[in-house]
Amino acid sequence: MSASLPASISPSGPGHSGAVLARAPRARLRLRMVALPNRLATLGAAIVALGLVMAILAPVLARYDPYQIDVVHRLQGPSAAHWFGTDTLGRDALSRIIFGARTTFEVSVGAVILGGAAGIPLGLLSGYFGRLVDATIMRLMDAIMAFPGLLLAIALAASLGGGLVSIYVAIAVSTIPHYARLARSVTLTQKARDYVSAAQVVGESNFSILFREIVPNCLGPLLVALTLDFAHAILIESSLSFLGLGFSPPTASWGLMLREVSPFLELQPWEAIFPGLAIFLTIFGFNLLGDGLRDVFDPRHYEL
Amino acid sequence: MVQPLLEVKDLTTEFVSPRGIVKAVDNLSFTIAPGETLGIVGESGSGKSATALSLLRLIAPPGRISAGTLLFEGEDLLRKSEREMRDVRGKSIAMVFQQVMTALDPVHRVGEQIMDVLRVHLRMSPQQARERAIEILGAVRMPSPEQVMRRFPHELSGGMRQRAMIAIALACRPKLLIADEITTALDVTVQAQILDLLDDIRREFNLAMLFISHDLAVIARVCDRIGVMYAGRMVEYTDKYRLFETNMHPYTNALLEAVPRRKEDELRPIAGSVPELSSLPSGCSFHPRCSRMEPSCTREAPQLREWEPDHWAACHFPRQSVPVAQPA
Repeated sequence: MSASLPASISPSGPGHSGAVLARAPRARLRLRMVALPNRLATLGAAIVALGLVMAILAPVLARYDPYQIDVVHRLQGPSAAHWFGTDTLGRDALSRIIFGARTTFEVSVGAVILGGAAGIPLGLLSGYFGRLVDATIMRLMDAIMAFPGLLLAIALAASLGGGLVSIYVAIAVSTIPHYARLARSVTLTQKARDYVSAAQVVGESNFSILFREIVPNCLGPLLVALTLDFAHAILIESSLSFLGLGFSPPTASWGLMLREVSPFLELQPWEAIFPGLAIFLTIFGFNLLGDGLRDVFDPRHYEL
Repeated sequence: MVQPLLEVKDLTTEFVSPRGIVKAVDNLSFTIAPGETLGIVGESGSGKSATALSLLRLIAPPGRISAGTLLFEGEDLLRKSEREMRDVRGKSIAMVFQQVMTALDPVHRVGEQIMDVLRVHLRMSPQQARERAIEILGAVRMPSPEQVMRRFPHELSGGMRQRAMIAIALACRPKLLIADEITTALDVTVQAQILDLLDDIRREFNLAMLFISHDLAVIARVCDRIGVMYAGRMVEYTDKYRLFETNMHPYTNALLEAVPRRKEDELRPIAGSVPELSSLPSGCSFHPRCSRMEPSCTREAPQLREWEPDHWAACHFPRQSVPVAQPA
């Protein structure tokens, strides 16, 4: 009899243990579903952290000077002396990858900050004020988006003439619409919330409502987007450098390493595999981290 | 007569829609004396909330207040600048509304939200604001105010959140409180507590209230005077005893008839439904649902007239009806 009672109303008696048994597997399943993305996110965070440590401690970690040319020992495969082999000029590939991490993080951090700093406020204003402000900003963003992102970055990098700043700008400009649109959409959702009307009712100014009420509520999705965009920025930087529009030799950059070794792919594939792996792993790490953060900030996890 | 605290004259609020202009509030007039509570009752879509928002000038485009005067302490709110209006909102006129579960900002602690209002309007120091906030939370009978100050909204129950909202509204000791369906989202026990609280607060703060509800029992309990709205217009306006005992307008009568009573099994709903504001019937907007409809009702809209001293109705054929219900 008690077995037919819903689990929630049989807190004691013979039905109790049955209810617990029935509930336990579901609880475990739910736990696993939450934990799995978290474990992946942890892996992602670890990869990103590793890259960051490499970037910061590059001079300590690298066994060789990444710019030390040794033409005699060029294009060697992995060995005890050179774990990742040497490149076309005999430079130690591992050291160059370690220093390349520095370049990569510099570029991605710079570009994401620049893109976010321009795009997010535009989106906030657009979403909050709507009407003419919204139309003006969004049409401008549409105009930028009319160009495929990478193509725009290539065009900008080419016209700005290479170097760190032009890479920042090239990546930032091509990602601004992305931030603006996201910030606009989260602002629109938050703006419709009752606490915004409540803030108006107590006489808060637009500025105060936007920055004290709406922005803190938008941080979750924006943080996720920023994390995912590190990966994007790294990919664009690598592509630009590979195409010869990003960093110029002899800078240690993963994309540039790929470019330099590309004529010798058949001769020495190792030298393409390692920088390629570095790019892949870093992007993978940022994506896992971003996805994990997205789960954390998922509105469905909010309590009402 | 005492100088009214709020005097609304011929307020008209309209929304521009692709199908034309819709008058959510049409030629509405009423007054509220200091310390008095006016109830506004009506079905959904009758313009109650639009009235409340108009008083604070928070009608967002495509809506706009197209006519009327809103005299608050003798000053016309419609002539104030947006900056001056911000100073009125929350300081002189406060508002609490229905959505208790979501009207507090989820990322700020309850205490901060009360203190913010005090700091903006009264330029209080953090320390002063803190003390005042705790005091106000005590005044709204919040259990352990000092702990609640540190709580986030999601940690509070519905009743506590409504108390917190009322605390925010009362923080600057406003003269007028607009309460828009504030008990609707609460269960009856909490509802009763909040209504008791409002009674006490009105006395303590000498607060005038505009109490909006669709619940006649609640209105009867809280208010001194009652206005009945239908399709954006005031159809009857008088003190609560007259409204319940000798009402004149057939809509008021039908509303009172529709209140479920214990002795009868069947409900007596009002036939038909509230008309679309964009396509109001000709003449009196209530005529399609009216039991006293005459041909002239379809041609000419009745004006709000004072048929007896202090008893206003907008009907061509008002009558002294038999008493239908006592205030609950």
